Amino acid sequence: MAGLSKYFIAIFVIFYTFHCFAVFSYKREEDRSLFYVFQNVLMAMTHLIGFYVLYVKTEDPTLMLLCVLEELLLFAMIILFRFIYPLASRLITNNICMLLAISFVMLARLSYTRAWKQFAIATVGAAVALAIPYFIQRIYLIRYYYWAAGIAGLAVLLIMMTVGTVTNGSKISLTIFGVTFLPSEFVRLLYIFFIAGMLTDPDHRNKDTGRIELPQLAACFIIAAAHIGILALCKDLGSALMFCVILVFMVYMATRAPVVLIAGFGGMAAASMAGYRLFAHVRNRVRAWRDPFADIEGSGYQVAQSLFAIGTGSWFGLGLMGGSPKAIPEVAKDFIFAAISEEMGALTALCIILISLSNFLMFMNISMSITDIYLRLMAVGLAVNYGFQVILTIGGVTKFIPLTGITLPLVSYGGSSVIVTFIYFSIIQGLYVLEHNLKMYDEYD
Amino acid sequence: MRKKELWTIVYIFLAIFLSMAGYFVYTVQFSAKTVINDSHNSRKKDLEKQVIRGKIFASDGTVLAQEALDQEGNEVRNYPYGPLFAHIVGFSTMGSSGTEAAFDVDLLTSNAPVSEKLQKEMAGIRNTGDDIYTSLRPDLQEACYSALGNYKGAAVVMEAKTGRILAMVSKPDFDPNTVSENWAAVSSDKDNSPLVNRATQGLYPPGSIFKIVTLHEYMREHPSDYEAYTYDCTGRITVDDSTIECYHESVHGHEDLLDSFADSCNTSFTNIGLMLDKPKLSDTADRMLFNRVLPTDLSYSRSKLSVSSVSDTKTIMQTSIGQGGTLVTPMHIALVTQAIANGGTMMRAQEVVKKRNYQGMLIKEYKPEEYKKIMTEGEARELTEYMKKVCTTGTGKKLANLPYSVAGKTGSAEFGKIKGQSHSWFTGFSNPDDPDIVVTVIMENGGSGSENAVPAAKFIFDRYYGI
Repeated sequence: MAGLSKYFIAIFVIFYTFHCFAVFSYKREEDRSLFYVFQNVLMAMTHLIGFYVLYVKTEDPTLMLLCVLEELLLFAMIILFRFIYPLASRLITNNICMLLAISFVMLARLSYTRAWKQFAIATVGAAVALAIPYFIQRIYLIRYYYWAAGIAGLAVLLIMMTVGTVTNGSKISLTIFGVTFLPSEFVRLLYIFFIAGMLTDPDHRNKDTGRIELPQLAACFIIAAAHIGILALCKDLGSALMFCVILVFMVYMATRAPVVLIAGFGGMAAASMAGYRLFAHVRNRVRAWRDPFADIEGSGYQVAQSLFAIGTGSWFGLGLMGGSPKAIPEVAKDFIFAAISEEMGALTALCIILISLSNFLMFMNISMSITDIYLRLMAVGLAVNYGFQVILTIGGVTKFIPLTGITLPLVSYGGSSVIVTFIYFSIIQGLYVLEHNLKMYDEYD
Repeated sequence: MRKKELWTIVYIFLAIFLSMAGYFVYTVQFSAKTVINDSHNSRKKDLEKQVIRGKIFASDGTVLAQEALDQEGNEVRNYPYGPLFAHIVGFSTMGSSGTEAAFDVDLLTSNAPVSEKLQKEMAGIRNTGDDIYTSLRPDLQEACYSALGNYKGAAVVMEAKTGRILAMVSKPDFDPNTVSENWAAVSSDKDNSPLVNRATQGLYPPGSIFKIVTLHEYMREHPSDYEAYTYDCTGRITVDDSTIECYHESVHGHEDLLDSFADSCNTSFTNIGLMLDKPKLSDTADRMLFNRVLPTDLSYSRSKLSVSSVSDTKTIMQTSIGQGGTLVTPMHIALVTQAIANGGTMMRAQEVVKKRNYQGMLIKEYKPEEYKKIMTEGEARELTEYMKKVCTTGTGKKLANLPYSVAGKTGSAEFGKIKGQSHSWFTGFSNPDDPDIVVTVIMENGGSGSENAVPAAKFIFDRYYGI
């Protein structure tokens, strides 16, 4: 039974993923209900069978406790969200829980203490998540405090630059009460609030054409550049790139000028070239990307190990506890995708890419249904934030692009990553609910 | 409200996501198979827990490597021929080497029928890995082993037209059955280095074997009048204070190009070398895979040669007779010889012919593969004529007047500081008009090529032709 578990897991995850896209064959949300319930069953089965295998292999009874608590957490989230916010997207809620379920299994296999920690953090995150849509409905209260968001973000980054600790030479983190935070993840949220507010403030838009006033746009660029500059100085290249991409897409949305995309990507290409020439660590990353096996003991070690893991696991994986994922440094954080691919199989890993894509498409779908320009810009900012983070992580681990050292939302281990992801998934849900409510008011009118 | 911008963003991300997913699929399905065979991949031991390592077979169907149980019932890797195939088959118990290393993942991957695999996985029984069928011939392997006798060195036998390896011996050897128990002793034996496969990893001065390259380059630079070349050998040649002497103070007198080559006249070849265009010589050597990767999946060393437009007279003089800083592996020499035999086309050196699942079903066939054209057919034919002369009246004349004919070249490669000590080399191929096999032999400190390597090669050729 345990021997075949990897096939069951792959089949469950594939079915689940199939339904992420198949639900759209029904126009009305009511008709999709059965799909969503089926997804919940598949999620529970994946999680249960994963823990069953871990139990068989380790015979650790406390795993059972963790398993039950996690199942309770997942179902509590699904049920509570359904009842408190009946209008929220059930697909997004399901996807959050599915990604968490896979992550829970993999973390329990990688590190017992981390699995418990992650469970505790996810519980806190879920509690925060439940409250956020309620507050977002009052988002107009904070809408015009965007300068506060921008300056607070910069302040946090400056603090981080001075007192933060260096890990792996490039990542800067703060440790509070034993939980390590990557402040840049929180700052990304403030940054999106800031840009959305700046670019849609009616007081700074031309009354007739609706165009953003030039000084306002310039101020937005200067503050954004300050963020990116600090991150580049901290050698946190992944975050710096994320901030750039978010800026380009949000400005493009706000100005509706295609030239922004062209200039933005051109600028980023030029900045990358300059970075490549200026910084040895950028060159190292690029070298390790082009041929990780050339310096397998050094700069190429992580990517080479990741490729060994993915390749040796092949489509169905070596089975939980059957591989050596711990040979990859940072496996629970940046490289969890490789660990999942190694033991649960490349099919499951491929499904994670598709579930993440489904999340991104849902975010964009919500943006399209929103009519208010501020809320829509927020939603687009969050969608790009999520989508690009997934691309950077999975792309880096699979050697699709150079490694930047960033976490996979909801799947990687890490306090800030899980909580921040919960927050912005809830904001999106809140925006969805808010839009629904606004429409209903319109209908009453 | 217009949504054009939103759709643009959706399409951009969709494109990136789908290319990433496509790249991932490609990685898993295609590129991973070569990647994971890397010796740094510690996960092979994970595969071993799930799959029983497959067998390796010789061309006559006998087993070269298999899983077996020892007296205590532990699973061990068993090599029925003991030290005979130690290097070419290798071992998989302390890391891995040889064919065991090159086909590590293949041996640890089971292509048994799916239903059977699932049943075994359900029952928690390990599946059986695929079997590797080599082109190695135990009779020729044994001949190489005996021919080398007590000398350190190596012998390679290759099919002339396909590049398939029929035998490969390196001495001193070790017993792969006990290599893990004796690891400390075997791996620290610096005097003998038994673990090194001298056939592919041993770097030796080529000595007169290199005259093939020098001759080839001279013919290329003088296509119409190389036959008019003459030289008067007085036993020594001195240019710019550097002196080269003929082997054992012989004096060859008046000779043409063919005689110079057949008698392996050092002074004449030094004279030829000094006439050559240095950058062109360097290009030709590169084309013949000096300083380059070799087409083999066994681990090997790259041959070394450094000639450039700034090389001084002494370097050129020594290089043209295969001394100085030039170093080659026997495998490289065998490949060059094979290319000459095969009309200038070098084949991949392959020791594996087929992969079957454990029930004998064919999974993959490894067809002979052309690697590179290193010279024209006409050039190869002309070199062959010269090499035939070596084995009829020249330094290889012990190979004359046999039921088969041979084209080859001998070498006496001086090494170390003491004058007169040399490695004994021979490389050549049989029945040059329709070539059968290539034999390359080196015997360390074996004196001149004609003294030891030529009889050793004859012994191997005799075995091949059943004499």
